[in-house]
Amino acid sequence: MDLLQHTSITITEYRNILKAIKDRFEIDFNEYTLVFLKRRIESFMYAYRYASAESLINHIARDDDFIHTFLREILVESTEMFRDPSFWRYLRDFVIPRLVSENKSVRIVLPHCVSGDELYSLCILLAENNWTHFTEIFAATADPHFENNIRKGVFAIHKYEVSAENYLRYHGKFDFSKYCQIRNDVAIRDNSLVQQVNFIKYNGQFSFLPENIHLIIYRNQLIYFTQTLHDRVLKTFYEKLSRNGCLAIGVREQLGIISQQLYRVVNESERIYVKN
Amino acid sequence: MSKTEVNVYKAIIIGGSAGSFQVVTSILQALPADFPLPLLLCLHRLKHVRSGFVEALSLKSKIPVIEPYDKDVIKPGKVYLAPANYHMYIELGNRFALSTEEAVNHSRPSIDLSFIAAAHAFQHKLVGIILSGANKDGAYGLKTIAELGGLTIVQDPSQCEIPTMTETAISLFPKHHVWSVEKITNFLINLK
Repeated sequence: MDLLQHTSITITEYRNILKAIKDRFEIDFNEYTLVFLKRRIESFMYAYRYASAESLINHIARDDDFIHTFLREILVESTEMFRDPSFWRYLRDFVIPRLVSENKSVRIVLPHCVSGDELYSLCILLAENNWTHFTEIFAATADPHFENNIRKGVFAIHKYEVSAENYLRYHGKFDFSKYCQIRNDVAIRDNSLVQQVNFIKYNGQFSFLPENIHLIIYRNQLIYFTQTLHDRVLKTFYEKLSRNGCLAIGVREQLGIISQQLYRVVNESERIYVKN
Repeated sequence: MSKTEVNVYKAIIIGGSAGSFQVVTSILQALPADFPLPLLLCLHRLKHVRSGFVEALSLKSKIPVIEPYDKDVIKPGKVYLAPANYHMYIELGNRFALSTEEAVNHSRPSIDLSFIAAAHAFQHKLVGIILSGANKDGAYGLKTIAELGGLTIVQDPSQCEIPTMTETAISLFPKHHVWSVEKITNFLINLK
């Protein structure tokens, strides 16, 4: 999708589109950041040739499969593997060793996976340090399409180079090509890495998450939410975390005034927190 | 330009790439400590280098230079630099909104996306400036600022270390003001 190409809609039309999606598919986008989601829907309309909000709304009412295409285009990928290498180093050197030493089995949850880049990074980190058998991973996806691609090891080829560079900066034990190979211009990841992952369905609420979580990795997702939803999500995570459970958010995200009281800082610059 | 005319502006946004660092530094050095507006910077930078850039820009600036966090309120008298590996938008309520969406013009942050968001947020009360750079990012965004009534300025391409960005902006919309760095700096100093 080209974000510079778009079919303009008014704010009222934007609200009507969200209402149509909510009525038909029970997915509520009302608490998403307007500037982000409106632009994204406008680019979606251009790419899929919807000339007006009305034609899009009509289509939403008629097409059962619409939501799959919509989610695939609208939800934002985590962009690359080992994004912010220093974050992954800190996880490997400090956070996970503590969790492994304190618990029989460490429960790690990624509440929203799209491309699986964060999930694969985590699984590589665990495998390289022989922690796989001491951990239990839950990964939630909003659409079966994402889960299938992650299970198959599908990887966007344009991310290969930057991910390999990130992995170098992460100081992993092997060469990145051990985990991801390019054949006939297609990049594919070693999907045995995610074999033990429990996939669950993400439905926009987080009440479905398991209890007693030791680590939640939720980086660069709060940026798409209004402050209201942002605070609600962080409150739910708080309830789902075990005592001394940790939360990781994106490096330019912040807890906000309300949620600050629920967590204390483990690492300020890598945005890692522990439950109060 | 008289003082009453310039007083309508609520924000400045500057985009630049290769060859713009020196220009931005010299502009920041010239601005007074009581500069009355927020100044947003969207500069192409290395994705993986998170620190150092703000410090380098701060060295000679009398105004604080900050990389905003998501949902930070935009305040006057501050310079905001788009963080590495994020797009920077302006959301309702005069706040920043960051995003990790796909690169635009091979860039994240993309100048086009920041300019478009700022154009919609500030309309005719925005000044958009494009500086030296090696790709076409920013041209479409600057045109959007002009179309929504903002003031648009392009650094004189003959002065640019790499003129691709400024030339593309002018060819897409020939009515932008084409000014020297001195003229741009003087204009900004006089925004009081």
